[in-house]
Amino acid sequence: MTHLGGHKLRIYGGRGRGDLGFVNIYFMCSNPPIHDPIRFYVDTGASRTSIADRDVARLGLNYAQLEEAQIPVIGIGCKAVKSYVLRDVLLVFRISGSTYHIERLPLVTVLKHEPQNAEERRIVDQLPSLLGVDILKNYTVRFTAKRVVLEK
Amino acid sequence: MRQKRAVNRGVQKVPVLIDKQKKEFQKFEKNMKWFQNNYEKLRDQYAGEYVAVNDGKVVLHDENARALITKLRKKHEDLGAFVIEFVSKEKIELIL
Repeated sequence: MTHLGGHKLRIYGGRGRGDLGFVNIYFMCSNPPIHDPIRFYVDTGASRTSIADRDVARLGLNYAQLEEAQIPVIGIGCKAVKSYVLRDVLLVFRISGSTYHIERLPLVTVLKHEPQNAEERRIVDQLPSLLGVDILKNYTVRFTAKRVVLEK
Repeated sequence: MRQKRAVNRGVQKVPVLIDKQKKEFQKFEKNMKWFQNNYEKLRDQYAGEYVAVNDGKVVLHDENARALITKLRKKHEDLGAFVIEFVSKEKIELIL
């Protein structure tokens, strides 16, 4: 049973760029220490939850201090993307006013694209962080006109 | 019993974020909402640029996201609640 007191757990997100669904998450990791909100786009085509280059810069993460990923990441542009990992991460979703739901992930991928010119850099910096199948496999994902809803 | 079940399901009835984090999260969500609600107006003024939004206004803008973040970091130690988003000239579609 996936009911809580007879009710399903529902996480509500919005619809953003390109009409894609997103959820805001408070992201917590101890090494390196990260305690910050991040917007993640819901992506059933992504194997893992990942942090995009622009969010890496916003959070002030230093790639040199991160562990390199052992498994290669291939993006939609058919290029291998250099990637790193964060271990033992907590994703905190706000359900309503002061109610939160926590998901734990053993690994989150941190992407490092290597743009060859200013135009590629401009595109890379528009890519969002993604909530992948490692989380979404536990939920039913549905869309309404203005929202994305994750429920279980 | 219900409380126990709730914790097992991962729904936290007790605070999981300290006050500072809770406020930062709320502010981030508020800034995101403001960005979305004002997108059309922002497009008139900042099309093709990245904007940094905080407290219901654009605090910095730049064509280069890295430059924007560097400038922002000189003024603010913690960018957690800031929203940094691209304002597109035209509607775009994303295939991720």
